[in-house]
Amino acid sequence: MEDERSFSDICGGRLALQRRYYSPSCREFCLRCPRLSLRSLTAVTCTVWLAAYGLFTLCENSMILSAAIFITLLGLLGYLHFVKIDQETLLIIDSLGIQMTSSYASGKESTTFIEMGKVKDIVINEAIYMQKVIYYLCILLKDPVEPHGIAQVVPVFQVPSSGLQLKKARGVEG
Amino acid sequence: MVLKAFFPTCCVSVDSGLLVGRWVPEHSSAVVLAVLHFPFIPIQVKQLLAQVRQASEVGVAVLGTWCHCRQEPEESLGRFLEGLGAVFPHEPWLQLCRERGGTLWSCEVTHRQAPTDPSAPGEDQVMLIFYDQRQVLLSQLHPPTVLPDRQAGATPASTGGLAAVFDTVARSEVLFRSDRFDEGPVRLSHWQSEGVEASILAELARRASGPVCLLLASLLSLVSAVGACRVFKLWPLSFVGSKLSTCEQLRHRLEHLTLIFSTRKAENSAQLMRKANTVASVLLDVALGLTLLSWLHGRSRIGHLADALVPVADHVAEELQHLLQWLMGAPAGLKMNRALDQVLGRFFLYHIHLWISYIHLMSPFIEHILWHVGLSACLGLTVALSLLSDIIALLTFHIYCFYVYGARLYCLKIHGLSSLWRLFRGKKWNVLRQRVDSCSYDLDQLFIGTLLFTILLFLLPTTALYYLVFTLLRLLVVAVQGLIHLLVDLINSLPLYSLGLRLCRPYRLADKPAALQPRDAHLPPPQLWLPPQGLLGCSVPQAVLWGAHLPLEAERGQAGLRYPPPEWWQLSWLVARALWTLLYAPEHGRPSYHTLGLEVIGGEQMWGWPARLAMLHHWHCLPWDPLPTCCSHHGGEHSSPRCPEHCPMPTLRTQVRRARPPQQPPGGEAGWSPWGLPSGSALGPSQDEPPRARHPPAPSAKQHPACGGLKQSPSGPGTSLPEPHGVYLLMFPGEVAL
Repeated sequence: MEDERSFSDICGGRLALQRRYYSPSCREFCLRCPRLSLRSLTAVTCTVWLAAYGLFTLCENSMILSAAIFITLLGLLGYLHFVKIDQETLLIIDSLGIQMTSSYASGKESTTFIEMGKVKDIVINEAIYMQKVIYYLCILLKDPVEPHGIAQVVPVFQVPSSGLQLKKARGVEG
Repeated sequence: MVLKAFFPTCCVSVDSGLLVGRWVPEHSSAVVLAVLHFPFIPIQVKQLLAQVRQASEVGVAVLGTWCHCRQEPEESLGRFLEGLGAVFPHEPWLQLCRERGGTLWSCEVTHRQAPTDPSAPGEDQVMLIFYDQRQVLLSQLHPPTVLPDRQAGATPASTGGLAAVFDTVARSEVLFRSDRFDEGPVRLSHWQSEGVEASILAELARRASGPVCLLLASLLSLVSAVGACRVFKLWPLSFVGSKLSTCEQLRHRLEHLTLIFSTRKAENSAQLMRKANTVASVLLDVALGLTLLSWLHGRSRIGHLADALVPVADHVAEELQHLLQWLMGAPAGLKMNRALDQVLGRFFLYHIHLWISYIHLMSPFIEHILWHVGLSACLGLTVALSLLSDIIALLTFHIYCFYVYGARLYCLKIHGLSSLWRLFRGKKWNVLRQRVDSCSYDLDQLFIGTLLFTILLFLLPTTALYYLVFTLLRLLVVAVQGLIHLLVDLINSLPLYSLGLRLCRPYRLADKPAALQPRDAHLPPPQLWLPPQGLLGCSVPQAVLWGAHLPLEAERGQAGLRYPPPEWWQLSWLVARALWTLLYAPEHGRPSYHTLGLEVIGGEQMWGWPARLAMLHHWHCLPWDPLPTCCSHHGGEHSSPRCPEHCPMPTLRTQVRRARPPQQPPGGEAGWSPWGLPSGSALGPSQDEPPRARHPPAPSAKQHPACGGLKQSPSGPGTSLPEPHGVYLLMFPGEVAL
């Protein structure tokens, strides 16, 4: 059973949340982030190259231009591989655990698995970011030493969104 | 209640047989370890299982049946399989069935007795989980040992469901020792059934290592006995030995070698890692040393070096003379006290003259000395570097002397000034009470005191300037020596074996992250740690990366590896503060040793290397040191000879890496070192093993919407129908807590 909704994140990009219901004990939530926009890519590239050209007119050294090209390429590759998240998936299997997968724009996937026995609760945390209040979902983990303590706070999605939609998503997860 | 069946991927396409494994009732999970094929004799099967149970202390039993047949099993086969349940009684009885060449699976669970708990739901769900047996076996994810604050007789800490699975598989190695080429009474299928994994080289090495280790251990004990004899403890030799970093490095290496060749087997994986890392570091050291040796001895480079050394020393001495002439004039436009200036300048010039004659005296022997130093490189690059650092220290001994003279003079002056200043105000330092008290002086005392105070005050700029100049020179030399020592420490403590494992076989390194390991008794328990104020301005992904879910440790030091590195202005503020302390601190607040008097600056890891500069003879362990380190005055284990027993700066914390498991630095530790190795997943180091969710190509994608492919089980109490989930979890311990 699939269900798809779209929200917007704090920067205004469109997010798509897809919920899949496989069985009473297995559910998957998939959050798709906005793609890298051509406009921003062009803007960054043009800025870097204009700056390099300006330096070139000052220094008359053509290595600056090639260096600028390399920097742009490497920077783009690095950004796609380490920073730009394409899709985040949360897989919840009852009595087994929670698995979070982040897949980056370059195809890299990194997964984290939390056993159900370690999860204490799922909460919505607030944080103040400049002039806004943003909300992010996080999982509280139990402390092995102290039975009522909390060992860790693990944020679930790296893309923060506004509160109302997050509450709806949380209510759905249950 | 969901019943979890862990099935090894290697048994997915084997012939029909019995499922052998362990049933974990508290998590209602059945861990299938192997499949036992037809034909078999039940008595022999039971004997084998009893043997395995005794050898491995794992409660293996027959859990059910596995059927892999061409088409739908006939009624007779079905009844035969159910009848097997009477021969091998087990509760609950699992029946897995798969169609050959197809993608349909069926799992049934039969309960013989009525459920004891009336409130338990009658419907059972079966969750089938595939796991890669080889990697689960080789990973180190096992239940923790009993926590120190519990009594031995208390119930053991309940292990998480997955840790119990890993533990079961790891401890049942006995079951996996027979392969299909063995002529045994029963035929098993598991990950090693195609042939036991072993390597001739490893076996040979294992056989040879016994006597070799014995021989080398005895040799090393002889060497250390010689080194520990009374002659070396007498005053001149012990003093010289403690100052020369070569002796220290040799001692360090001797310890390492003793560790490697000790005949005691490593008790746990942490010690094994430590041994392996030490071996790797020694090998790297010797390899680099031999490279250096071959480079030095080729094409008579030593001759060139020796020829270049004396002119360089002369040049340095000349530059110093120019500097002193400049100071004796009007340096930077400041007006100095002529008489004192001339006295000090001539005093230092005479020293330089002595030094130059000393160097010229030594010049014929330089080449021989260098040649022998080059030979020492075969002991290791670290020894050669330590020798280099000692040579630099000896060659710049005059700078050290100048610094000492300047420091002493300045110190005396400051003492005098402060004491006379107190007299000027009518106060006195009370030694008994350690405080400043008022005191009534006689008139002549006041007169002489004021006079002396004035004299000292007006002579202060001269002395201060000399002190400043020589301190900066000394700082330069210490910086060079510090870099060399840093390199030596790097080679000593970089855990190459763990790094290599991380790159090539990451599942071997998977272990419980430090935050979830049993803590030592003297550490306070971790608390919830909210994002600090400093991170509130960052965007959430940044905050996440930098601190929102740090592994919790009570001591702030480990958190430093995730903090943003200090800005340049922070560093310069720290250095300025150190200089201020140097110049103006009251005498009872100042450290009273000669190296530099710089206050300990900052944290313990990479950003604490200004602190390293200050402590020339007190190098603290680098963050990658695989030994669990805690300086002796913290009550922990004293492991590195570089941590001094008598650290004069009680505020400096020796590094206590608990952010990662103690066997390797890694990662934390996790998220590893300040040199920037990130942990595998962006969300942080302290998660457990992540199974990778895979959408398998065939089975459920096709079947998911359609219900026609589901197998209906024959009637029976408490049978269940597995829903074909869209996702099969592949258990793969890939997350590394380095």
